Amino acid sequence: MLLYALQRTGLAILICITSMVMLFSALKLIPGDPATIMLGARASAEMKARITEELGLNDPIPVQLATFFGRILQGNLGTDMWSQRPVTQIVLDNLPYTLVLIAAGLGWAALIGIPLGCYSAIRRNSFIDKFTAVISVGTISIPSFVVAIYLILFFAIELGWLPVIGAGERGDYLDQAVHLIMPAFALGLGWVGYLSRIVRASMLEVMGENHIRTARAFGLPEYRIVKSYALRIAILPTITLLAVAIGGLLSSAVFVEAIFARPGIGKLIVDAANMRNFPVVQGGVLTTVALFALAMPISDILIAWLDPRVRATL
Amino acid sequence: MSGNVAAIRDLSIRFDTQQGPVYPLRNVDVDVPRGQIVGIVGESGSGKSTLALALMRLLPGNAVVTGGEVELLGKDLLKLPAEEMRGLRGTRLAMIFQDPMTSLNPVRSIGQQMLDIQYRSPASRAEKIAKAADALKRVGIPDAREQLKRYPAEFSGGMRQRICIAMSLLQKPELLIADEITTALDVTLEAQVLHLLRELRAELKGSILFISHNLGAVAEICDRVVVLYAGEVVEQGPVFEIFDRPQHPYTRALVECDPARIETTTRELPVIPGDVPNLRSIPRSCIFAARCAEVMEVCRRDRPPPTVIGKGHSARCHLLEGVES
Repeated sequence: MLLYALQRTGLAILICITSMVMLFSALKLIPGDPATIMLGARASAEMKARITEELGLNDPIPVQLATFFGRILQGNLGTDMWSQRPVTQIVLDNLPYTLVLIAAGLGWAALIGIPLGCYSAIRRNSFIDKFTAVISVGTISIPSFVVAIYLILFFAIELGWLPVIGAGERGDYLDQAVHLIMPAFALGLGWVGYLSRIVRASMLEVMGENHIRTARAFGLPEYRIVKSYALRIAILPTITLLAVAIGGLLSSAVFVEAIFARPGIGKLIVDAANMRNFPVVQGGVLTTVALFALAMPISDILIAWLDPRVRATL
Repeated sequence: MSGNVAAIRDLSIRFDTQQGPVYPLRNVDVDVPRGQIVGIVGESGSGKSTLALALMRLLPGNAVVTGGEVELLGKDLLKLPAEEMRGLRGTRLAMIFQDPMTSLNPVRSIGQQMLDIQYRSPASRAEKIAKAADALKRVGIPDAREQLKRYPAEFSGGMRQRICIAMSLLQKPELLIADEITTALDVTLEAQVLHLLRELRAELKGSILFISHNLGAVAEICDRVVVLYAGEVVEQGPVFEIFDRPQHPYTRALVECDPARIETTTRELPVIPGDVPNLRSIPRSCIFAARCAEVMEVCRRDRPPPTVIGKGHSARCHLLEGVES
């Protein structure tokens, strides 16, 4: 089990290193002089020279790569070009907002989607099953930024019930929660349908397995069969799916944060990219990659912990 | 109490499939006397498992009982409310399934599953665990208490089948349905399991419906034998009568084809020529007419009724009409 956990984490680290190299080369591959791109065409020669020196662009490429890695290993993601604040600090300031947004979006989607999928599987072809089937296709295909715009038009502008901009007053949890409603709804909506369909499919499969018939042959109550015998197995593919979902949600979060003007990693990257603030872009992207890369081993370990069949093969 | 634990009368079942209706069981009469082991033999697809599932009322959703009556443990099975039926399962009625590899829940430990099925019992948790460990010990699983913590994937097929048997015996059922429980086992394990069943009958005083296509096993432990062919009972009777004086041409062929009974050295195993009829359209003739070596004109025209040949021995064959003793 421990070895397995180490293996999975090692793989995640490998993914991070690869993406770091890609990030580094992305900066190198941008045509033209990085200093010119950052400062604009009308910058003076001294300024360019200073920036070039500051970024270490005069060093040979392997040295630059080594310095880049060395800094990251020390937790130093560089310095913001404009505010001169350390990028690590900026990222850490913004990260909680994104994490809360993703947790809330995925959380409400799971709380609604999983029971809905269960119900649809047990009462197959019932009204609720058919209704969710139709709604799911709809919600899966609507991008979250479209949902976000309609939410703002209706609940904020038309009805005036919910605030549009920001993440709420610092320290005022109620205000922050109210500010979270619309972004989390927009982010999670597609996942409700997606999760319910996945859970339904795997529930249908599990409910047809022989051990369910055995449980029935022993007269176990149906709710118990569903809860302890079927859902325990049917939920396993969903856990892997949720880990993959983190990746999708991180990219949807970029749009949602931009539309609601919420602080967060997504908005940070978009703003920094617009301002050619490369160290911040690098730091933000690296953090997202690390989050995604970590979600996979966590879900693998979680499944190994929940499924004795997987555990037995370790 | 004496009499029958289960009495099936004229039972017919239909499966509605996408390709149209299938008739897996037709006009089946079977009695399971109290304290006896009744064997059900027949080829694959003869309706053995359908019969077992019908007794458990666990038939798939597309199954329809089109006729007949079933009396089970003194109750009218087909009219029993679902909750009352569930009350019988796992207490007075138990079933062991064919495939031990998939019959146990893979994500719950053996102990959890054995506790789960005792949910009706007012006993304490410790008592239930002790009872589960005892049941495992009785089916020859050493170190029972330790094994309770383990998961099905950690056991071999033979061990899992014993666990299934142990589970079915926890509540001392009056009728135990054993659906091809030795098919997945090797010869040594099979002998052990058969021995176990015989012991259990002596101990529990219950009845067993032993479904098998292994004639040797049936001859060894059963009191009565029911021969199913393509969804019909072609012959039934006491075990020695069926094996020593089989009356129906199908039973005779079946007994002759049993590799265990062939005494001369041969390079070819005997076979019954032809195939099992298609159960989508049932002919009005005798169901075995197309494969029967002794087929007559009347066999292709009319379906024979069951003819009583001796005490508790009957067969559906035109050849036997008029020879009633």
